[in-house]
Amino acid sequence: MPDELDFDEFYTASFRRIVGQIYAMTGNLAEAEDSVQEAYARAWQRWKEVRGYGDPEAWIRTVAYRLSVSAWRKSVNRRTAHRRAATSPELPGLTPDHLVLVSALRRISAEQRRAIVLYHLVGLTLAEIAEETGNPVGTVKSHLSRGRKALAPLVSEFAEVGAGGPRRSGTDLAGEW
Amino acid sequence: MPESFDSMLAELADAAGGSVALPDLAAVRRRAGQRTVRRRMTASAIAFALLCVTGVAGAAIDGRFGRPSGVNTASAPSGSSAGATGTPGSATPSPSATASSGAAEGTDGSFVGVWENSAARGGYLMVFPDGVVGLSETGGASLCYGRVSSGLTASQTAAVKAQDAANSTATAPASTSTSVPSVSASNSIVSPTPSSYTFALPFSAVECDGYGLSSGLALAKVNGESGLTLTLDSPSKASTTGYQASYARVLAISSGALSRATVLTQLVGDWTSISSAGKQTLRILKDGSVMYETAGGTIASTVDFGTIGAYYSVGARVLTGCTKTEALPYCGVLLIQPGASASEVTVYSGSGPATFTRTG
Repeated sequence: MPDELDFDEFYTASFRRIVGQIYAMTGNLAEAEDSVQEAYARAWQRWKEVRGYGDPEAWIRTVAYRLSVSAWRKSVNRRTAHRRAATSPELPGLTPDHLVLVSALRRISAEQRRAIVLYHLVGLTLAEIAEETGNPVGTVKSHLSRGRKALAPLVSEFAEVGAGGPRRSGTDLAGEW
Repeated sequence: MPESFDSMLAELADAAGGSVALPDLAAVRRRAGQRTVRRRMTASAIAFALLCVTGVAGAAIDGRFGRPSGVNTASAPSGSSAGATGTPGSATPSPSATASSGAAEGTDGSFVGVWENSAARGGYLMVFPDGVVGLSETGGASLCYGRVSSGLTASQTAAVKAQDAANSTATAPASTSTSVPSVSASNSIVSPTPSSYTFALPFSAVECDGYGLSSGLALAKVNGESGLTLTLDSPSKASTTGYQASYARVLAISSGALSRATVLTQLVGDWTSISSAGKQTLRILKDGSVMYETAGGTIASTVDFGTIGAYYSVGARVLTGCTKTEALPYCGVLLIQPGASASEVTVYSGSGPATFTRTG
């Protein structure tokens, strides 16, 4: 019973947040919702193991992301996803700036987008991103740098970064780039 | 400016997360359950495919190298022997009536095996090739000991006596800590048996009083869509109400795969399991004597003394003595299964399988 309570609380507290993160990584809300739900189903199957990890949310996010980019899964669900996407309404409350951001994110590579979301939205360090993505820190730095440069002409906020400026004042992360 | 980017990204993610309805937790769990079913079906399909491939390969090899003349391919795999007593004209070949051949394979349609009751009542049922039966009771430590008591043919009875004699030899450790008598029942189950076959289980130990045992229990085979199941019919009596339960086989049991020496080499020592069922400890001595102790948790706190007396493909069976003077030679049954590593064993007790780790 404590296991169930733990899982219930974790699920209620984190589901929407992770859907938002996966959406930012993939740009497809229906796919994000479906893959996150599947990730929670998998977590429930082995909750004793998952809850023992330092950050179960990272486990869910990683599994959901992998599911959302799985070519096999996409091919299986293509028709369903297409129907869903065709009928799903636009996200409410999006400003023109948000729409520009969505559009810009869709134009950079998936790996760059994932690194940018993990860094800017989730707030992970380079080392944590490297651990979660399974890439060396240098590769993560490269994804972030190239992603920001690619976003520079599309998102005004990155214009100065694209020109070589630092990303976040008050931290030492700029030096890591 | 990047701070603004962070804010915009956060707002975007919040908007996305906020726009989805939180799916019901039951739906998530249902999805997990469906996933488990799919995985099992896939595993079954793969196993079936491998079986088919093996069969085709075997047939191809047979075809290439030929068979010795005079060998009937239809009867070659049969375990029948001179002692078989098959009904003339019966489509089902009679099993070997010799206990030493390990006739009662748990993979066929017989009663032999470890069975789990998936209904709310839960619990396990074990039916061994020599006719010993174990039935777990809610909160009980070891499974209640029982014996098949009716419906046996003369050859089956003879087979059981032979098996009991073997057990008797094996269960004669030079231990002074236990005084468990040898199996002396004169009946058993030798598979396969007709699907309509019914057994009575003569439980009478006080530990198993919850089953309405004085009137006996009956088992019957049911071949449903989900495979072979057993139904256990418990008649009502003054203190308990009768019920019927269904069991599905979770473990096959066959004889002759392991020797006493092999099993004891792996099992001798001290073992502990700590789970929601409470702390359980197990001590197995070189002579095969066993002390099984439970403390707290969901199963009753008790100490059982027993002896390893039979060795099967899945491990060793322990029969424990009665704590009170009873007419039965034994009161409890445990099954100890060696683990993949030398530091683990699985013990099937009244609460089901539990993993024990070596502590000494």
